[in-house]
Amino acid sequence: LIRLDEVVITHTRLQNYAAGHYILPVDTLTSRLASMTNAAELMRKFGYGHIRSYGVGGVTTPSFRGTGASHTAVLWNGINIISPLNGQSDLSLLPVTFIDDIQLQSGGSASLYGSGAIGGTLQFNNKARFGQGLNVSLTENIGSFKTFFHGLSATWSGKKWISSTRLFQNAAENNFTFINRNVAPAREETRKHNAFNQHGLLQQNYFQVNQKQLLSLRFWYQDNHVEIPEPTTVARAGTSTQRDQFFRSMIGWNYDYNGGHLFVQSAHVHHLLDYRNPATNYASANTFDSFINTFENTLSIGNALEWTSGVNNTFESAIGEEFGSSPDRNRVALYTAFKHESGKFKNVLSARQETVNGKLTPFAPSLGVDYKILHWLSLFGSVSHNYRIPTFNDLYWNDALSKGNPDLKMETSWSEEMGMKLSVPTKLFNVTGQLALFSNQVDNMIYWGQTAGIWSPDNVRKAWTRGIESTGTLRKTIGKVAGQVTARYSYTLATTEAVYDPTKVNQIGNQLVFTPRHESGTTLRLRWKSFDLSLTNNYTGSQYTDDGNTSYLALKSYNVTNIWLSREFALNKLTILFMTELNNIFNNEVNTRPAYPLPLRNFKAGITIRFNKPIKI
Amino acid sequence: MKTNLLRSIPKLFFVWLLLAAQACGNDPDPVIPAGADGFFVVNEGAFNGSNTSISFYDRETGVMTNDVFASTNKRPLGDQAQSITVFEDKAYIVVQHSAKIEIIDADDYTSIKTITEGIESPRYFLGISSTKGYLSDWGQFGDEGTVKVIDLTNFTVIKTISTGQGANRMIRKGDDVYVANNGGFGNDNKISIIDTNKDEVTSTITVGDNPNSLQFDKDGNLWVASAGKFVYNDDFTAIDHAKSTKSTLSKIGSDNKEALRLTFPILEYPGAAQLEINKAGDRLFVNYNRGVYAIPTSATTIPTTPLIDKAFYGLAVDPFNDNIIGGEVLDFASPDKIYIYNSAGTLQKEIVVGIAPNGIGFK
Repeated sequence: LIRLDEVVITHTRLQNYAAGHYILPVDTLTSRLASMTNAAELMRKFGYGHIRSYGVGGVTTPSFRGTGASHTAVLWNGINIISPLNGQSDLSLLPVTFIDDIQLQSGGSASLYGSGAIGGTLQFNNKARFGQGLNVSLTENIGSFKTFFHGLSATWSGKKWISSTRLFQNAAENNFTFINRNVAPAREETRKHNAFNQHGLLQQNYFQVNQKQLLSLRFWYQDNHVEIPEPTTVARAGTSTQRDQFFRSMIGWNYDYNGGHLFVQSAHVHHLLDYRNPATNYASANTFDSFINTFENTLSIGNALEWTSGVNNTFESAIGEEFGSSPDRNRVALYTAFKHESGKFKNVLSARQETVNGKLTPFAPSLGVDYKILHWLSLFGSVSHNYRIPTFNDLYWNDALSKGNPDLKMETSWSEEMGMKLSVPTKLFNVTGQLALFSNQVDNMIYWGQTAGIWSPDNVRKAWTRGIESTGTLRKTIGKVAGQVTARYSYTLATTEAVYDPTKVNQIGNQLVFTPRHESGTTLRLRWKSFDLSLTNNYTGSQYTDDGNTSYLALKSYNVTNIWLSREFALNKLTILFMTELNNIFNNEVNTRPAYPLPLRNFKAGITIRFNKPIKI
Repeated sequence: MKTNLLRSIPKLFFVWLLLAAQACGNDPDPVIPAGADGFFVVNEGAFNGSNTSISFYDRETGVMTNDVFASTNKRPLGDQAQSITVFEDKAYIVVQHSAKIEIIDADDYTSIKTITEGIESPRYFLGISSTKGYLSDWGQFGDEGTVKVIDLTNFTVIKTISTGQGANRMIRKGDDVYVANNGGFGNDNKISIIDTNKDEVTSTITVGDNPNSLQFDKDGNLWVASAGKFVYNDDFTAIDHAKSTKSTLSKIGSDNKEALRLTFPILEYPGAAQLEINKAGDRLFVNYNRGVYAIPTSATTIPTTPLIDKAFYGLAVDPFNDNIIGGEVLDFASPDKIYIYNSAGTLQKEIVVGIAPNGIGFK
């Protein structure tokens, strides 16, 4: 019985072209602890970037470096899964078990990832590992407020074939207790109409045709039902529900030839967003379809230079009562990137030019440099020009009280950053760290506002977000205990620099809403034998909720502390992971949006059993 | 001597003033006009934004203090305050989307009581007696209309009177309360009359579509502003003129019969609203077509041009000095301003308040 060497073909392609950026690595233990939940919870609990959230199960979107929900590109195996309807991707719809590799990168990179990659990029990738044999895993998790997670995955990984099936169901009543301070005297109440239920299937098949060719086939189906609660200031329970049902399929072909690599991918996304309120007889069901085709070639030129160029065609269409005559758009993007790696330098120069229905988007160039100045210290820097095309809602939405604006301009941005990464291994301890100074000027930002009772979007302001992102980790082993402390801090000054409506000039200089200036976090980890103890504390500074920066309307700062105890051990052919989690251990009253509370102290426990039967040769 | 006499003039003047003031004090009708102390501003906030607030303007100091409820009581006011009414020594804040009334001391803003029981989607409060108040209510989904009778001795809802759909502003004359049924989230065209002795609807008056506000003039006529109906075609691409109706202004005589109905010239959204009247009771003011229109009670047509060419959300006429106060709303995303005009429509002052000032409560 011989265990084959692990073959990992990631083909996350453009990831290799990340240079000059601040990267937030997600380590194995973190993804393991978060495996019984979704990407939103992972980011919230472990402090990856800033997220904006309506609570557990509620819509959660990333906000990198003071930018908005639609300013972060969210990619699954290279395709952008941002909804063309609302420009967002709800991170609570991304089960961590469906993802093998998570990359969180701050900063603009539209040259590589296209429209919307202004504040950051989230990449969720699957990996093909050949020769692993049979792997079956079962996950069961139970938590407070009738929270359940069931996961099952089965993978056959041979020398040439992989077939992998993953299933999950995640549901919660979410009927937690909160303190209603909206009435006198304050009273304990139960959160109502706050349940969610998600289930999904991810099927992957890989075929290693020969040493040079890999075929990949992926299919992701998910159905999500969520009850939309009212803010706690509203007396009656909510009655609205939202259903997100999507089908994402992709087929890919990788071909290695002498001195180069060819990548061809074709993907289709179908997404239904069904929002309804039976109490008011309101129903709005919209679907969109995206066909995404990529053809990309990478050439190695000598030892140091690599040149990738590609063409991407995305055809998007929407159907729904509010979209009238089913608008669509055809997007063609040409992109190219040069990577030069030699000795201490890694330089990437890239550019993208896209057309939307024949109309040119702004040219998006980018330059990034990593420079290893000392064996323990690297410097990095980048500058990029980025853009975002308006969403279908922005352009075409039409109902009694809301009207899209077909004359919207695209948002554009210049983003710059510089920083350092350090890694200091000594005999006593090991320190790693990262620090970046960033600046991002976003112009023609699109917001919805009302005139005479009718809501409509417009290019409202130019904003300048700048600040610091930093993280540092110290690792030390004392006797049988391995310890690790990570500290994070970010400062974000995100101000309005110009407004295009003279009635709003008094907003110039004000901080953008829901953008805390200060955020920090600490993670402590201890490992003893097969036991892991993790403790995180995340601090979110106060946030303005109005464009006027009115202090009495600001959302208070908050702290949330969570603790995990887990144990992973082998038992015959089984690997067993026990996990318990205590959230908000100090019972802090936290509102992530005004009148949208997080649960008080709550509990989760789970088990994952993995069975592995290696291949016999 | 001459100089002494001249020097006495100011003294004599003050003596005269004192005597005059004394005379006023002895007047058979010693009512201090509402608004003498100042006024509250209701800042509605964004729907589901939990950012509604109350401001108070002190007439003596000329200072506007924002957020008086939350800063005094250390808790949020709630979601979407619709109105504030000062009655006796208390202010009744009707918080529609929070389905409650917050009753505060009108002088120091401290919370006296929160009423939630028996309230669904409340709009306006009207004090009837020291022991009784009326509260108009749209019903949970804005498709009903009731007036809740509140016992002011223990602050409980003791009776619910069905009116039309979307019971909105109320006004009192003698033993009768007139309720404008503005349709809520639907449509209605009736004024309900409630006998305050029986707490029952005794009759109704049909007016133009969706009556929302009402005033009595100096001759005892009731004036009613109705928004009309603004109906789109099925795919919301055009206005369905056949199903829409223009805003109207009805005059109802003391016989409770509609004597006159003036139709506004242009079909527009949100239609005529916030009918106000001056102290003398002979000049009406109304928000319409992004302006404030002044309409004499002798009018037989709607003026073609507004007195104030500015769109307001809230509108009030100061009973103390006849100033016109307009509350502007930009986009429910930042604090807005109120604009104070004299009765000729000349701007006197702009003051920053909270988000979306939708009304004024005079103290």
